[in-house]
Amino acid sequence: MKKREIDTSVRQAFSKVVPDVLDAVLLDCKQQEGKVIVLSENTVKRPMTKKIIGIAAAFVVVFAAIMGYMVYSQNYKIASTISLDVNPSIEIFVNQKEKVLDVRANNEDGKTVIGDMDFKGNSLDITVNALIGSMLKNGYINELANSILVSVDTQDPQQSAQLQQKLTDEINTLLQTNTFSGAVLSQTIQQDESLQQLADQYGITLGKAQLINQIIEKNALYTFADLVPLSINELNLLSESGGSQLENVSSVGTASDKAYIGRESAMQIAFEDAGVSQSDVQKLEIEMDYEYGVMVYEIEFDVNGMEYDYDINATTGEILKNQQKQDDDSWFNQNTQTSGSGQSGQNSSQTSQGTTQGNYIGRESAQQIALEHAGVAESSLRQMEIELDEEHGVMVYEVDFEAGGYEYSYDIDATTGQVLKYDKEWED
Amino acid sequence: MICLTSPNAFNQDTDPALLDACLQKIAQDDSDALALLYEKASAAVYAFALSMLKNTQDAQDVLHDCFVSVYFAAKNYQTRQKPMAWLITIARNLCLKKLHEKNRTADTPFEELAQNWQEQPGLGAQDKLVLQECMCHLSDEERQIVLLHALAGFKHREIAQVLGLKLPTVLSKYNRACQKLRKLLLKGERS
Repeated sequence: MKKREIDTSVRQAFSKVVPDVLDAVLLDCKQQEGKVIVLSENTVKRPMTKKIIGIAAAFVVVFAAIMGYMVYSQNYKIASTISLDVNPSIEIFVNQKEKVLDVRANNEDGKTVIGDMDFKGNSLDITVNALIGSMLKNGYINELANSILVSVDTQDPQQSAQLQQKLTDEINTLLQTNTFSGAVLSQTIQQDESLQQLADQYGITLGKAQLINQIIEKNALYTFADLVPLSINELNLLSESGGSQLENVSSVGTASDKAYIGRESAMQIAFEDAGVSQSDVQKLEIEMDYEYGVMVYEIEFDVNGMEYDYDINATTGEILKNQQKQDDDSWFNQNTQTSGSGQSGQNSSQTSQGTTQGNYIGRESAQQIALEHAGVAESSLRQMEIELDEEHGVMVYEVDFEAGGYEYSYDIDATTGQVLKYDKEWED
Repeated sequence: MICLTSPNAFNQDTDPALLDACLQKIAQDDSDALALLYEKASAAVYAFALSMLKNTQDAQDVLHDCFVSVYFAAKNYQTRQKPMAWLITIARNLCLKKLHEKNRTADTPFEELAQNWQEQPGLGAQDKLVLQECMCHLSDEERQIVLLHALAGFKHREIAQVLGLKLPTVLSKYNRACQKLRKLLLKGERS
């Protein structure tokens, strides 16, 4: 039984057990379309309670003043939460008058930033100022990673927008240093229970969870868990790389890519590896991406009808992936080093089919080697399948054939022609 | 003119250009395009969900939720010639959510799964054998790889990308799974 037959029988069997839920899908799509607006009304109930509490609090204020209590004890109600994420993650809780009620660190770096400063009763401005100062001093925001995420959570949308703008301007000014400028991402938190659960689960702020969620919506190839460990600077680079602006997030400044080798160098590495000169390159695309657990430059370009696809480690410049293909059906990894002149020779041998690759021995030879090894004459062959494949980092020709009631399966090293593996089975 | 065949028809057509076109129309709220996409891709999504969740009811939920999500997310889809990878990634995220909710415990025993399928009309003996061997005797990863290859028409490198595995890992697991299936199916046919 061949792989292809297994493929076919698996496909047939599973296709037959697919339940038909199309009607339910269509119905739900139509229904939810009308519901979309309703969902965002979740927050409406809050202002009501806020008003009541506001009135109650006002009474308390009058009372407190009369009783001669301290001014600071006026209002303990948290009116807004502001979270700052860099890699240190800090939440600031303020009351209606923007006096700080509490400052909490969400991670170890956050604790370092706060140190033994006590912000209770201070104004929000002073607190933010001190925190940003400490982040700069401790080197959390620097030339290499200059991005900060500001998330504002207030019941009143108008107040939210104002606060968001005010903080963005202020932090942006603070980050205009002699050596670099900062990049500020800011957003207003939309209450979302499932997102809050995710944030709690991963121990990150709701703000960061919301940012990650938006990046995933733009690019479905990332998963939430993938992006959690990334810093805001890295997330900012990814969102800039997507080309389109994230909704609900406003962005000032540009994320620093100085920690990385830079687009230009990444491009040169790819061109050099491919043995092509920049002038021949068409349809060049470079994006920053997060793959294999590291930041990479994803570089795609065409030369003479060949498509090249590179992933370059953005920190080290190491080539993580290099592929060339002529069309969708004949791609292959090129593991061997090719010089510029070798490349042109290779191109000419790869005519329309892309079946023989310059540095490999070719299908013909692979077949010969396998037949010779098996002691089978070409005339007695039934069914012959040859596939170029990568196995344990080595390119091999997989040669499968049947002869004299046996099924043979060979792996032939595509570069050296050595028989790496063979298998002979009696056919039923 | 687009021709709709029955939903259970032999489903191999995952031509990226066609699916891309579907998604673009879905972005303009075209429910016919959604139906066409469903016809082309539902088998792959369902099989993949089943391979992760090992529970027909949950897989059916994910199939439903996946296409509802696609309907609303199609506007954000960027043409990258990888519509199937996009669909499968959405399905995978939904599966992970489901697994998280269930705390990875409540799998249906496979005997029960197989029982469900015994009653299903149109299933031949060979089909039942294939379903049973795939669900019972392959590891989770092997099953995911085999099903993505067979139903989503993914190439090995695409499988590697979607599942977050290295290419050589996918290749060797795929080969091993095929060998296992080959032996099991031959044995099953004989008995």
